[in-house]
Amino acid sequence: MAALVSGSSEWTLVTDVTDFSSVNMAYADLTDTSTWTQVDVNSDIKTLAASGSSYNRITMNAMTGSTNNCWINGTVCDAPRWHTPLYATDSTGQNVQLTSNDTIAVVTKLERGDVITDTWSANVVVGICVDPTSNTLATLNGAGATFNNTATGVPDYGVWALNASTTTGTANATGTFVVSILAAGLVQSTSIVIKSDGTLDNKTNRNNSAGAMSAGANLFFMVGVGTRGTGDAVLEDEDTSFRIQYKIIKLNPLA
Amino acid sequence: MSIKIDYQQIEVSTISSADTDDASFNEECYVIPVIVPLSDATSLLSAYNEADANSPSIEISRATARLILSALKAKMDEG
Repeated sequence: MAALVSGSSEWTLVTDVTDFSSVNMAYADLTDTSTWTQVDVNSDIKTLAASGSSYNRITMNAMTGSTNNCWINGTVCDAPRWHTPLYATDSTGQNVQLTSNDTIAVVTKLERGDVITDTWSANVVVGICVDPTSNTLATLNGAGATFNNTATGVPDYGVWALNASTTTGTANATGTFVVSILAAGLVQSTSIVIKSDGTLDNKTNRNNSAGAMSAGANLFFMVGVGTRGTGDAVLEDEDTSFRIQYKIIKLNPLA
Repeated sequence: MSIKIDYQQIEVSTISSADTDDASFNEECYVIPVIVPLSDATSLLSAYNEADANSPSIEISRATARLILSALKAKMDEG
């Protein structure tokens, strides 16, 4: 919405003024290659397609069980991921690159889809990171929302931090809202797990064991797909789907 | 000994992390926070010999085990 804004003794017409009483979130469409860059060094992804109502559906190639397929354990992970620069939009709608010096709130809603044909022990992570192309989890330094499921199970939802996660949920869990705050170069997150009608299913959180990011590091938003455990294998054509909504806000704390 | 359990924070979760020996694990589990006061930590460790399978003393080990198991029982009894 355009609006006249007063500042520096003049009025300026700006094209986007956020209504903080009703802030829209945006879907992450991983098929949008103008926004998302796919990194898949082992060709684990057979196909990626938009599915249903803004879900991302991923069909896998076969993967043998390996610690390196796991985002939430071990020290190395070369599983597939998608990344985009972490931007917040300014009052004119222009993207502003965010860095580790900033104070940032990221709200993510993560839901697994229901059009999966062959379940496997899957794990999806979504969040802020420093180096999305690194296979060293401490260098990638990611944190945010996650779900994981056993081969036949309803996912547990919760918080991803560096190379670990804490998740929870009953058989009625359908998604999670995770709020991550980045300040002083560290991301901390907390999770509310919801049922399909939006009511409370469960809640959890996890302290992030990472140290502070180096000053001035450009930040990225990333989505990673891997296995729940370090020994879980994946058969060709097994699939998963998930929907991500997010909003990124750069805060301006008063002195 | 004034070790306590933070009963309000006991939860059932799936934890993917590493243990004290840096061994990876992924477990659906009860998470039971054990509160060890800083003022007790040194005396507890002075009475503990990691290389001795009979350490710590039965007074300390049984009291600690009962604290954890009583919390687990109470939480499971809640349903």
